[in-house]
Amino acid sequence: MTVEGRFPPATIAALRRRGHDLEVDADWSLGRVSAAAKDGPLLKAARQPAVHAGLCDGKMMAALERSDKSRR
Amino acid sequence: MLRDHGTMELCGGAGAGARLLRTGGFAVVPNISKTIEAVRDLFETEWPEFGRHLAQGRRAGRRQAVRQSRRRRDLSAAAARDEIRRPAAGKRGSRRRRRAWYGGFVAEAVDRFCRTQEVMDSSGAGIAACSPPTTWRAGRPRSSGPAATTITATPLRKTGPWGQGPVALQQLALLKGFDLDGLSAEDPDFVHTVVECAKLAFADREAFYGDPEFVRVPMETLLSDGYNDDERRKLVGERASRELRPGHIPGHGAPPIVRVARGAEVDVAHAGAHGAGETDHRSVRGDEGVPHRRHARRHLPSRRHRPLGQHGVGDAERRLAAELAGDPRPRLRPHHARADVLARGGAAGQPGAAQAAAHHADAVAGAARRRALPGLRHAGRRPAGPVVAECIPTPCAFRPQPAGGDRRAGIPHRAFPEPRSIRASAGRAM
Repeated sequence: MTVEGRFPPATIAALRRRGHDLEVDADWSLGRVSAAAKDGPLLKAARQPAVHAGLCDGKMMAALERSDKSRR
Repeated sequence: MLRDHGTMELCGGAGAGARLLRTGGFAVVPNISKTIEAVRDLFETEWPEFGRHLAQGRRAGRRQAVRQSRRRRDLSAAAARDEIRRPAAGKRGSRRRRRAWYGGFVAEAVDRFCRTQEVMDSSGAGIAACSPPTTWRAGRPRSSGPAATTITATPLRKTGPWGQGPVALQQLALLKGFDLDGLSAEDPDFVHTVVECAKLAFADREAFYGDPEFVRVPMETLLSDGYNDDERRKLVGERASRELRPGHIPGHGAPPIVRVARGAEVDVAHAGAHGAGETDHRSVRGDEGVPHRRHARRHLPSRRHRPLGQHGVGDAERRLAAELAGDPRPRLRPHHARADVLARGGAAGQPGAAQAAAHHADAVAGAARRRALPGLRHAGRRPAGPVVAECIPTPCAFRPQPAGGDRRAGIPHRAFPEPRSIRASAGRAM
């Protein structure tokens, strides 16, 4: 299993004790999280830092597309 | 998608893409470079076009073949998008554009590629035939909608079992039975429980998921309280599980297949961590019929379309697969100088599995020596790791044979027999 270095050392040690074969990767290196929402006239989107350029734009586009559709 | 669900014209979407590819290029984010580095050998040997690009990077003395944070332009892809956009705008233009895609120069290129290009797929046999693009249709009605759960306050929807989306839902269904409320996300108990539930859900994915047009997937059962409470959740123990433990749902699921990865065990895990997943896996064929690639290309559909037990994936492999399915413990048994086999399987222990695995390790090593398994042809130059055979139940990858179907005769894949026949054969093999 690979975990991010943001986990405290105590957690990592405890997991190893329970038999997990752990590899510690860089902070913010795993997972891809993004979200988009339409709030009145505002489109909001956010993504996790640094990893996926453009994801936010994509989410915004998708939200825009949906809101266009619902207006028609 | 655009026709049925979109608001933009094809022109708009493809035009933006073409502009991006011609002018600015697309951003090479760090994970692209990382993933490419992880499977660089594969690109260099099996994707000559892209391999040349990587070689250029190497000549330029870069540490990584595809430099990070550099935008990459692609003029040929831009030209193709322009070509698609050429017919006039409007409804009729859209139809014509779609025709250009399914029956015009794009279809021709696909056909040419399938007929002339030797490519490697995970079976090592290469693509044998594509059904002609004229039979491909976007927006076909799916036999099932998205998978959904109401466990959470907001209904949560994921793809149907043609993707791995429902795994997340099953993880939630499993986690529902644990009291995690007081725990922080950094608590070892929390991480352990989430991870162990993930393993169970993914094991079920391996055993049951597939394209619902071809396989009947027991989605309701998989997400049901009954199944997750009674059968699955109690498998979460105090210790980390290292077994692949799919559940048992009568009438569903299929035997595992056996794949071989070149290099050491750690390579497999490493590739997985970078999202490069299965690219380094190969089917174990044993020595009873690894077809020459050219031969294979002419006569075999790609592995994805081939049920177990056909075309050289012979009885020995079936037997092995069945035995491995009954063997839960990872075993590492040195047998040949370069071939160790790690067999990983399903339920109760069976001593036969290790022997069968060892037999196949020998066969694989032999095949590698004879260069009969294309993916293993570098084994001689890479004495490092053992050959690893990993037992993964993958029912979904198999489709029945076309009933006398032939791509030149234009018989679409609708002509495949009903999914029922897959299950029947899977049942026997188990």
